[in-house]
Amino acid sequence: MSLASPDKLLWLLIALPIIVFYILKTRLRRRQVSTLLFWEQIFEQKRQRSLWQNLRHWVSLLLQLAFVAFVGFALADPLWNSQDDRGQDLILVIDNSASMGAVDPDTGETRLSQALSQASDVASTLRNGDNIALITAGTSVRVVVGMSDFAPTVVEAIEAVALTDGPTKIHEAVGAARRLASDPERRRIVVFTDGGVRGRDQLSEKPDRDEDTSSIGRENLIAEDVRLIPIGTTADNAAITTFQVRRSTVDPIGYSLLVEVVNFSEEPLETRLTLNLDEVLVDVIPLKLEPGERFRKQVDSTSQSGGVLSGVLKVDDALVVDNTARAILPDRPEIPVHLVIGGENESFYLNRILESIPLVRIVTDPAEASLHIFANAIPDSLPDGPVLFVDIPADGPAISVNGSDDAKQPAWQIGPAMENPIIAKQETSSPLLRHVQMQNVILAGGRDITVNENLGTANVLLETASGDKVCVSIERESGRILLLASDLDSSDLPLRIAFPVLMTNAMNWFMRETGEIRPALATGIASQVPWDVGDSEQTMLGTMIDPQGHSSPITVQDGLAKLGALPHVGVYQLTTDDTNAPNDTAIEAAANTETTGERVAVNLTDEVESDLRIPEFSDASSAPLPPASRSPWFYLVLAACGLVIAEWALFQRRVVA
Amino acid sequence: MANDTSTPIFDSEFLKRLEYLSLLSKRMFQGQLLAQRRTMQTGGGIEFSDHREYIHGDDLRYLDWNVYARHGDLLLKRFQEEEDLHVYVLLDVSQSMAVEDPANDRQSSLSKFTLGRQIAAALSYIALADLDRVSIFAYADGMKVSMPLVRGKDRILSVLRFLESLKCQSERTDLKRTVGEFVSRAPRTGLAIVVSDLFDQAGFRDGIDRLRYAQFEPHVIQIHTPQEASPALLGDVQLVDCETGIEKKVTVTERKLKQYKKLFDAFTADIERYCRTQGLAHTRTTTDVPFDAVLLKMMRAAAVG
Repeated sequence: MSLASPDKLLWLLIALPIIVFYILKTRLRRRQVSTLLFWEQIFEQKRQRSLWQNLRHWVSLLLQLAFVAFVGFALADPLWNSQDDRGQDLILVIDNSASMGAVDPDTGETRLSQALSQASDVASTLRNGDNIALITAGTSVRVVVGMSDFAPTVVEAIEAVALTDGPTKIHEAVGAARRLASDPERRRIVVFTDGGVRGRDQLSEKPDRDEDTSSIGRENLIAEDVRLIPIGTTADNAAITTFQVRRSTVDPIGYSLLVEVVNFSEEPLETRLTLNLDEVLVDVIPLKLEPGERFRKQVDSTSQSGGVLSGVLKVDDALVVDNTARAILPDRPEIPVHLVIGGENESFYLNRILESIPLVRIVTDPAEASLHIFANAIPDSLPDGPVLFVDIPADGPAISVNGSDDAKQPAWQIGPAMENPIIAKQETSSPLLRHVQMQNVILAGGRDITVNENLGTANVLLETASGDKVCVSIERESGRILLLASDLDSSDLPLRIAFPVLMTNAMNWFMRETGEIRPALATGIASQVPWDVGDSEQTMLGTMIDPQGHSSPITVQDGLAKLGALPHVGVYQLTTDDTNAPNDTAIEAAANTETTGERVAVNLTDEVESDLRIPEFSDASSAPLPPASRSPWFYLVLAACGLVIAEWALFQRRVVA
Repeated sequence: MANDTSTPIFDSEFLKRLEYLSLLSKRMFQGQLLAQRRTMQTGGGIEFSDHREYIHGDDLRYLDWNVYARHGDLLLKRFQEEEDLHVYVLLDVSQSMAVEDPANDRQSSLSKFTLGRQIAAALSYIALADLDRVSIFAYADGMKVSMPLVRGKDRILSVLRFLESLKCQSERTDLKRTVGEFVSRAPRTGLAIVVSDLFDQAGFRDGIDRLRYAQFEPHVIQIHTPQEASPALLGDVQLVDCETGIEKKVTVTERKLKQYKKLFDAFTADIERYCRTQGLAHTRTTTDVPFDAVLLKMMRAAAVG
C-alpha cells in the first residue's frame, strides 16, 4: 500500500497537543462526602477490575491518538495494491439493451436500474489522477461521456442512461472502450451486463488458448482489462421471436404471416397469442409450450385495407417488450386503368396481361382512371398521372418548352422502324426491370425513342445493339411515363415470362409500390427501407418519427430510406414533411397525411435478448474491480468516526452527563 | 460549612414558630407527648393502679377496706406516681453533619447540623413548655459537650445559646461509646432523642440498644441531604470522607449511581425496620424540609400510633 499524498501525514502532529492536554487533564475533581460507606460497598465489588481502572485513561488517550492517525492517513490518501500510482483509465460500460428492462420479481426494479446504481457507486470512487468514461452498449454503442477526470459528470450521465429495446452490443462497446483508453496498463473496463450475448454460457469459462473464440467475441470480454459485473437474476420469459408477413402465394390481396413463439422459462407455459389488425381481432392461437419449446406457425389471411398487424402474447413475465410484435400490411387499392387502343389492333396480349394483374380494373371514363395506357395511340396532350405508351406510332404530343406556350415541341420523337431490333443492354438497377431478363430478345416494332428534356428525366431501360432506345421511363412532376416501342401483337415479348413481370413492375412503379409488403425490422440493426418518394437519383431528406413521437432526419437515396439502428420497438413513420417542425407538429402532420408517409414496424425478435438466464462470469482472468469498492480513505474516516463514538460512549459521556 | 455562626439560626421568626408548635402539640396530644406523661413507677399519686398483698408494716391507710369487708382479703391499694419527664437530646456534631448539599443553594436547603439544631431546639421548647426537664448532649466519637438538665419555659434562651455555640467536630462518629458515657451521666431515665445522620462507621444500633437496656426510651431522628440519597455525580471523581479524610478515586457511571441509590434505600429501610421491630419512634427527613414540618410529621406519627 502506498500513499498518494504523503505530505498530508503532517497532520499527525496534532497528536502532540492531544497528549499534552491529556496529561494536564488527568487531575480529578475532588468531592467531599459525608461517608464512604456506600461507595466502598459499590467499588469493593469491582476491585478485580482495578487494572482496567488504571489503564482506562491510557485507553482513552490511545483511542484519541488512533483517531488522529486514521484521519491523518485518510488525508494522505492511501492506495490499495490494485491501484497503481499512475492512476487508471476507468471505462464503465452499461448494457442498456432490451433484456436489461427485465423486472426482478423480488425487488420490483429493472436490471438497468440495478446496473445504474452499481455503476454510480463505482464512479463515485474516482481518485485524483484517474480518468473515467461512460459507454452504453444497448442497440448501438454510444460514448456518453468521453475520458474525463470529473466523476460527477459521469454520475450525472449514468442517471440519464435510458433503456433501449435493442440487442446487447457489449463486444463492440468493449472494443470502443479499448480505443478510448489506449494504454493497456491504465485501462480498466467495467461492464455492467446481464450477459445477454450469444454464447453466454462460455463467458463463465476461462478461454482455452487453442479454442477459437472469435466467433462469439469472447476474447473481447474475458480479458485482463475487463471486469464483468453480472446484473439481475435468472427469470422466466416467453417471447415472440419471429413475426413477418409476406404476400400470399395464392391470394393476390392476401398475406401470409410467419410467427414464432419460444418459451425460455423453466416451467411449462400455457397461454395464447392474439393477432389484431388495427385493434380488430384477427385470430387467437392457444399455446402450450414446454420449457425451451418453440411454436412456429404460418397464418394466411386477407386484407385489402391494410393496417398494423400486431401479435400479443398474453403472459405475465419479466420482460414485456418481447410479448408484442408488429407488422405493416399496406393498403391494396384497386387500380382503375383507362386503356386506349389505336388502329384496328385489339392488343389482345395487353388486355390479357392487364386482366391478370390483381386489383387492375379497366375503366372507360378517363376521369376515373389513375393510370392511362395508350397502345398504338398518341393523345393530343399528355394526361396527368402515370401513363404507359406501348407500340408508339408517332412522336409524342406537343409540350411547352420552358413553360412557354408559344414554343411547343413534341414530348418525344420516334425513329423509324427497325428490323429485328435485338435488345443488347438493359438497365438492371431500375425497379421496372426487376426479375426481368430482356437481353437478346427481339423486340418487333421497336423504334428509337428520343425524349424531350422538357418532359422530365428520362432513363433508358432497353437499348438495342445499334444504340436505339426502345424502352424509356420518364420522371415528371405530374406523373411517371413509360415508353415501350414494341408491337406486342407481332413480337414475341408477350409470350415470354418477362412480360407479365415487366407489367407488374410497371404497375408498382406507377403506383410507387404502395401495395408492397415491407418486412418488419429488428431493433439495433441498421437497414434500408424502400421508399419511393421521387427522383431516385436525387438524395432527399425525410423525417422519421419514432413510437414515442420524437422525430429525426433520415436520408433517402436511390429509392431507399437509410435507417440507423432503431432503439425502440413499435411503428415508425417516415414522412417528407418539414424536418425542422416541432415533434408534435410532425406527428400531427404524419397522422393527417398518411398517404404521403411510409410506416415501418420494428420488433425485438431477438432470442438472445429474450433469454433471461444470467451466466456466471469467470473471475479467473478478469480484471480486479478497479476502485476496490471504496478508497482506503473512506474506510479510515469510517473507523475514525467509530473511534470518536466509542471514546465518547466509554469516557466522555459521563462527564457530559 | 455549618459552623458558620454569622447567620443566626434562632431568630424571632424561629421563636414564633416554636410557640406555635408548642400550642399545637398541646391541642393535638392533650398531654400525651412529652410533658405530663406518667412514669411507670407506682407511688403516691392519686390515680389507682392495682392491688397487692398486704405485708406487715404497710401503711394501713392504703388498705382496701371494702374488699376486706366483702371477701376478708387484705389487699393494699397501689397508686401510679406522677412525676415530670426527663428529655435528653443527643445531637450528632460529627463533621458529616456539616456537609452541605453542593447542588442546592443555602436558601432552600440547610446543613444537617443546622436542621438538627433547629429540631433539638424545637423539641426542647415543647418539653420545657410542658414543665419537663431537658438536657442536651453533643456527641461525635464520644460525648463532647452537654447542657445540664433545665426546667421551665424561661430556660429556652439558655438552650438556644447552647445550641448556637455548638460546632462540628472532625472525629469519627461513635454512638455506642457516647451512650456509655451518657448513661453514666444521666441522673435518671427518660426520653432519649437521637438526632443524627446515622452514618456511624461502627454502626448506631449498639448505641440504641444500650439506651434501651438502660431503660431509656430512644427516639431516632435521621437527617440526610437529598444529595446523599441521590448524588448528582458522574465521571471520574476523587471522593473524600469528611470525617476520616480517606480519599477514593472512582469513576461514577449511571450504573454505579443506581447501585448507590439501591444501597442507600436499603440503608434507610433497614433503620426503619429496626426501629419498628424494637418499637422505637423513628423520623427520617431531608435538609430541604423545614424543622416545623418535621415536628408536625412526628406529632402526626405519634397521634396515629
